[in-house]
Amino acid sequence: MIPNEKFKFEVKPEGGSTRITLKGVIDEDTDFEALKKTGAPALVVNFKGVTSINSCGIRTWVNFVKELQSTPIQYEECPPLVVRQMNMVPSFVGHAKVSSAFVPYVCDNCETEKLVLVPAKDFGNGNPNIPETLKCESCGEGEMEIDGNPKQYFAFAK
Amino acid sequence: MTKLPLPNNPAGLVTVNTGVLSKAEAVLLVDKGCRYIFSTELGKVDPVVKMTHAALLQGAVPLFPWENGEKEEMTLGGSRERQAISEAVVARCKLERKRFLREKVQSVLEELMTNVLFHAYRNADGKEKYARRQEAVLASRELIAIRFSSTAQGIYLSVKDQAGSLKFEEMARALSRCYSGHSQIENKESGAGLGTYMIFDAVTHLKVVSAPGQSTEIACWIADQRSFDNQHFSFSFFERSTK
Ligand SMILES: [Zn+2]
Repeated sequence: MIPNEKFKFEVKPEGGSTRITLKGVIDEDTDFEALKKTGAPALVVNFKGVTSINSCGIRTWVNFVKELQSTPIQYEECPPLVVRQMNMVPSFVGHAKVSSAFVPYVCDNCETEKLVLVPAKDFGNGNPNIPETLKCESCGEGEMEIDGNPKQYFAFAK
Repeated sequence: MTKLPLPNNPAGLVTVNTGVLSKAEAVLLVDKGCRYIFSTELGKVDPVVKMTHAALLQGAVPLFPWENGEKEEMTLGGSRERQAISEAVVARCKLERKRFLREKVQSVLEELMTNVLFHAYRNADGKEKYARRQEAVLASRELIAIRFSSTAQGIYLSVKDQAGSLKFEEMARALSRCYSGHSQIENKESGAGLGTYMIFDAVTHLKVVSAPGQSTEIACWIADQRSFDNQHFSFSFFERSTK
């Protein structure tokens, strides 16, 4: 096995649950064994720092979530690349609940990008209640639009 | 749905299929053995469909419009080089500020490279030569050619191995399993199924040119568009005779 410099995680007990913060690349070298041993009654997984995930990483994650079938799991701060996997592979979410996800906006004038964190109450049933456009703070002139199709983006929440 | 028949085809399965399809519907056709599928509202008068049918009647492989133009080329020599290649493609195609397209391109390229590295090369016993979870360093006769280019409309990517081991049936099985709900994602250490599905799902056009025992090239076009357009996508799997 190759020592894995690409992937890091932090485990922090918080009240009745344990927060796991994932960082970096999830691929064939990623091992979630250590995460199984937390013994926490509930898990909160923070995906904000995940920079890439390939099919081997998805497979490992799906198996990990399956093994924790009886543990309540919450996904928070899911970046667009994780949202895309959740839409493509429903078992990536499995029995977990998504509590928040980032939506990418892009300015039509200066192409500046902004990620806006949306809580579950605003995308709960797959009918997102989010602004279609935002004013661009970077150039002050353009309008920022969602980089993607909002309904397709939140398809995982249906 | 229109089917343009081809000769030497008693079962009638090798046809050029056209109609307006979802990706899942296209996969149902692939699963039935259809190697040439074009989703287009023009049906059989679509120039690309006509071009494909004509080429197949002559035993040739057509060059699609999205394959035209100059390409840049890089060589993949092992699993550790994937990230550098991915970063180079992003930089050369100026995708830094285009998250949606960039992440799609990076994901497709990653799956193309990973599939080829770990599945294309086999030992004499038929087992895969390079195991996942171990570093793969290819021999010089196994080097993989990566070609790419970008236009305002999208990105072209192609990955070509020197094995020629990919079979249409394998690809069809991988796609149909992933699309049919009973996913085969779990409990598999190897297997190119999920990666193939991720590629097919993300791209607009996918073309495989297999020369059995010599090479397999998987070329694709990723349109710079934000939502799925079921009037323009294609899947084709050509086999060159190597006799
Ligand atoms: Zn702007």
